[in-house]
Amino acid sequence: MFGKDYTISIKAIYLFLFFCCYILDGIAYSFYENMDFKGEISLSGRYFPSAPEYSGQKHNNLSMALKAEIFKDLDEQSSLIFTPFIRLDSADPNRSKGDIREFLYTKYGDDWEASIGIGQVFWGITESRNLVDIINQFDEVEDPTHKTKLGQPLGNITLIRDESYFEFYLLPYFRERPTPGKKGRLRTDPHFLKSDAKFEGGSQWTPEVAFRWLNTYDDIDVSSHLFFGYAKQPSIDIRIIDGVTNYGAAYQRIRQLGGTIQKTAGSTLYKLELIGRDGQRDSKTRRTGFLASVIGLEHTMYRVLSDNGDLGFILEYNFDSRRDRSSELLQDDLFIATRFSLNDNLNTELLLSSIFDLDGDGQTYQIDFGKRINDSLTYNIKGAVYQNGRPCSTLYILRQDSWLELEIKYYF
Amino acid sequence: MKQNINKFSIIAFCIFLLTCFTALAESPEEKGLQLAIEVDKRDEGFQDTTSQMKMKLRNAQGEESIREFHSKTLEVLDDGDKSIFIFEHPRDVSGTAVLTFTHKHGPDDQWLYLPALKRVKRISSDNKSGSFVGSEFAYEDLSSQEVEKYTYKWIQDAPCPGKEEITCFNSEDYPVDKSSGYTKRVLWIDYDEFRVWKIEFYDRKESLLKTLVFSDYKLYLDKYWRSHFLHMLNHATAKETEIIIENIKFQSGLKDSDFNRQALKRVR
Repeated sequence: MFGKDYTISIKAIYLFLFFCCYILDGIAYSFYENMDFKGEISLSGRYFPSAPEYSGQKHNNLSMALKAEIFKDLDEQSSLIFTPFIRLDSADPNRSKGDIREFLYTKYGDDWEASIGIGQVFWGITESRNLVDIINQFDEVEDPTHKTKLGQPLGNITLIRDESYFEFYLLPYFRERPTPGKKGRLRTDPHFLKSDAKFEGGSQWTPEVAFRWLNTYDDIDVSSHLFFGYAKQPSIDIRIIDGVTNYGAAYQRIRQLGGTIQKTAGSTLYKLELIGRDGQRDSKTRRTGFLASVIGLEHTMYRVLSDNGDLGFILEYNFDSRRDRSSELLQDDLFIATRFSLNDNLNTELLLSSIFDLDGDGQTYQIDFGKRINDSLTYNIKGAVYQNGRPCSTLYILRQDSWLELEIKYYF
Repeated sequence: MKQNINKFSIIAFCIFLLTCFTALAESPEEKGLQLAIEVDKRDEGFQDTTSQMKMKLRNAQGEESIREFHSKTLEVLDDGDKSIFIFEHPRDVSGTAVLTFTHKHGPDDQWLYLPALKRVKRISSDNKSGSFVGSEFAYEDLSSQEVEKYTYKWIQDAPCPGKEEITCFNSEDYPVDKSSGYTKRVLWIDYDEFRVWKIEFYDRKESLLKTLVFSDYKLYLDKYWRSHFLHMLNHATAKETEIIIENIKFQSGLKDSDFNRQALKRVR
């Protein structure tokens, strides 16, 4: 009953947002010369070849999403960006949701920038995953590969001194990680409850702070950061409701020190992401300190495929000192990928990757293929195969959930 | 004493003769370099430019597709120029931007901004021989031209291709960087205003790969000539790319701070 209402209200929001976009589009054209309006609508279907493992899960799903972006230069030195996002999903009500990806006011001078609102921050350099990205929560229900993030309320000041960048962040509100609901695939069993998350050592409004420095020394880019706030990964907090075991999410205050180094040596990039963190509960619910890193390289051979195509190789090793007490998929894993970029008219790209757990805890194979159909239409095929996970491991949870997705995107 | 004066004048005369001789017998390499320096000088002091570009890609079957982008360039006096390219069309790459710090010596620095992820990625500038957005232009064809990036050789003087009434010098240059896609470029540049009219590109196998023709030159600030129509033909694939440049603006007051990673995230 609740779910149905929810879907209806989502539909209403969707219509409302679409209407807003339509109106704003009109305004953009008639009033504001320098207002920039664009967006994308996507239709996608996810196919799961194996039957669901857990009770209540639906088999496949269809969904559509809308993302709009309105950008306005307010004057010579300030701007406003607004990026609403909404998705409707046929199977999982948790996946039908709206989010403000960005709503950010930015003011800047020659050697500084300040922004306030809702923003997206990317710090990472590696390809298999980005350990150092701690500002935004990942939108896991949207994208199991952790490339999509929720909008984060923040205030930021960046100072630029010569080649050095000093960034200060204040995050007033914590965003919980969205997880699939009872009907959704790619979830734990039982699924996480949507509400009543526990915030250990504060509330959802307990501020988080971060500082980051980055610099470039010729072909070496270095960054380092400090973070005081909540871990973005929830730990499992078991709750018995009416005699049924449920998973609640619990978030712990952590301290994190981390950094990145990239050396750009010709057509080979050497990369390292490293963090040290304490305060977070591991899979045995013990609060521990740990080190995690991604170290690897990316080598590209230019113009070796057809006329202009590039062939790239990525090799990355993911390490987590908690080993099997880490609930992350990548904790002692080798990531090997091949990227085919045809550089053709249609921007054809294919990324094939495999993840091998060096502890013998299974393999993951991923595909990501994208191609342009015409000037405003593209399509994308993504998928993952989860294999040979040992019982109790994170990979084992997903054993029936190998998936293949086709997405068509229209840009306007 | 008198003998000394005689000796001195003989030496002086010899030096004079020698100087004349070397000046007269300037080698084709020296002449090529001198002319390249002159071309570079003609562009000095432009400070900054912005422009709008439209690219028409045509394959051997005549099918066309369009790319649109705009660019900003900042003149750097003691090193190579800084530039930002911002893509507008096709829409799926709209907002993607590339920041380049060209260097007179050594590889350029390059950062790519991916708007969907808000990611600034330091990329290898070794892809200079790679195709720019699937066109027949390579990155190196569009990057800032610095004297130090080539060695030179003057070949002959000839009427300018496409503008027979004026005289061009026809010269060859050879990329210094090993990652260049060319072994040699053959250029036609006029003596009047030092404008490039035609470039032939020779690939690694030393065969003619592409021909680029410049036209529709216009004069800015009474000093700087800019071509508004570029046509590149790939002889190996019969594919063509045209660039139509519009709305060139000089000296709009761009600063160093408009060309850093922070600014890259803000460009539109």
